[in-house]
Amino acid sequence: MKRRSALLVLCVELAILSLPTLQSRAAEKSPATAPTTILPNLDKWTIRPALAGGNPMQYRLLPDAFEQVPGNAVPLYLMSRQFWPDQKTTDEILTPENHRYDYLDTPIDDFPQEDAHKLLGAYSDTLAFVDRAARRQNAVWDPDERLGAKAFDYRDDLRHAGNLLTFRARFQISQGDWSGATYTLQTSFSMARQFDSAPMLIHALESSGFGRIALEGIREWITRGDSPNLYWALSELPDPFVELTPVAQSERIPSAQTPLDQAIRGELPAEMWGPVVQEMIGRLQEARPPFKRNPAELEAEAKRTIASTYPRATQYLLTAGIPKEQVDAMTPDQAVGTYFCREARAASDELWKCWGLPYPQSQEQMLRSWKALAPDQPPLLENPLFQASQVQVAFHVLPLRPDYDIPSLLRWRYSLSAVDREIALFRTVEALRDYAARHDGVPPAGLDQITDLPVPLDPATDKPFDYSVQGQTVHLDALTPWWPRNGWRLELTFAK
Amino acid sequence: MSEELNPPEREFAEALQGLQLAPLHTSAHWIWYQAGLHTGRRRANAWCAIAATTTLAAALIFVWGRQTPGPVERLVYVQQEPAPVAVVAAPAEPVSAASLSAEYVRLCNEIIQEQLESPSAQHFSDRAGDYMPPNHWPTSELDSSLSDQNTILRIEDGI
Repeated sequence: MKRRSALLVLCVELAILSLPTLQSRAAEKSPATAPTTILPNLDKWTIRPALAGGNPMQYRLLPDAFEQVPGNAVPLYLMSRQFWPDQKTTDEILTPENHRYDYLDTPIDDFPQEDAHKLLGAYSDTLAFVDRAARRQNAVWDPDERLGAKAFDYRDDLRHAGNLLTFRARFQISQGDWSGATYTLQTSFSMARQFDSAPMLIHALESSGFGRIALEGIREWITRGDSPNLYWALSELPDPFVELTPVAQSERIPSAQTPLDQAIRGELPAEMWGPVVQEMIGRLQEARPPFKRNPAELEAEAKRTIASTYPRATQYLLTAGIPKEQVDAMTPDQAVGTYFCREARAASDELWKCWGLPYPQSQEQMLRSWKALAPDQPPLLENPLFQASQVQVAFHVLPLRPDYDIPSLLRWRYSLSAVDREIALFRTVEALRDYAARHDGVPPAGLDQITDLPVPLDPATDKPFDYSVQGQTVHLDALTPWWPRNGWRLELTFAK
Repeated sequence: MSEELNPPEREFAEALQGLQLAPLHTSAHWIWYQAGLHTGRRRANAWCAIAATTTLAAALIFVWGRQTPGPVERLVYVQQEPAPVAVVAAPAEPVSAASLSAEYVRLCNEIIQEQLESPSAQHFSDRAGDYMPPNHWPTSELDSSLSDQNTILRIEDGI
């Protein structure tokens, strides 16, 4: 009997183990298949007319200067984690009644009030520290980059804080506590802004994300029946929400001291070029399925690459004006490495030059440069440094393959602008609420009919958001230009 | 000692003088190995050791209790234990400097994917602070089970 059970277990395990292999084979056989167009979920809101008048600055979304105190916010943010409850309590309060409710997903009106109080009580110290941090005058982040990705672990702690703040804002809004909710929203938006004070792409991306989390509170606010209009409060938020220039200054040319970073900057001593090409190829391996280095092949691959590229590399360097005797004195490693670095940097600069433009222009110019660079053709196709940094895998097409449609830089650029887009979208909703309040609760036939308030353009297209109306229901769409799976589709029903 | 030895005794004494230390057949590695082995065995058989020690101790106490030994003078040479070697914990191996930048770029791309690919950008995946990236995107060398992820992709994409 025991033997039979063991055999059965073995068979089941074998079947489970073989599943991924079979699936991967199936994936390999299937041709590259573009997915059917998948649009973002339709978000249905019921909203009520509300004038954007009264005291427009009553609900401002960032603390004023007089509300801030001197000092660095970062230690307070980091300390807030010390007050998290233990794991058991965490599970009980974030997802009460055995996950029947979830503090992130359950509509706030369905979340039991007693549980909400319990949650906020358990995190009261954590949130108190975050509230204080958000009202410090500056934030000096000092990640120890020697630790690699671990240096940025605090992002996760602050994400939790961001989610908790949004929960608190939603709960306060559900209780009609507008001033309490305003205070919480100020904390959220301030934290998002303070996260942007480190001139790094990763901070900028998270800052944009924190801003969008804060906007979840705004969403709750707008859809609450008798909520005050936030048009002016939203208009007061910084535009762009995330600073673009510091990112370009810190990311265009790496500042680290690795041999490859020094090589990219043109500062690597001649005797240190040996492993650089190998490192470039290693990075490319990490950026392609199966997303890990293959040390066994790395050295041989580097040798092959150097041998096949050397003639082109020397020609490139000579054309670039490097004296012949200097090129001749280079080892093949150095010549090919220098060539890859110079070529990749020149190509990347063609993209970076468009970074600071308003998004629509930035996108247009970047795509134009991208097409001219022809990253799917030699020589750039054979430049591992460029391919690893600018060509990502297209995850929406099977089998997984490099996506030559858009450069990584454009993804980064869009991600930083997504929060601006959402702010503009919500401002448009508030403008619609204002219009309806002035017109017996009836929405306008088109956005151009709104004349009392400036209606923001879609920052991604520089045009008004897609708008249609049918009776009391309007649709506002803002799909990502090159990625329609992402974006917003709002269905707003005006209750009179 | 001054007594005259008879021939057999002399022969025995000479034989004793001719004795030499047997060469050492052990090495430091062997000693360490044996020490480790015995330590491991002792740990594994802790309960046996405890039982045996208890029994032995009881027996000794019993025997010792029945004996009335006379005073014995002994000169005991005790080898002074060497001062414990200060063990300095090796610093945690830093992340390979060469891979730092690659790791950073990977992290940034993960965030972007999370923001762009997530069906809902309504909240961060925080797992109560223990952040886990979305499980359907290959994010690192740890996520090598691409086929599983592909399956999920297929479902989501309706392929």
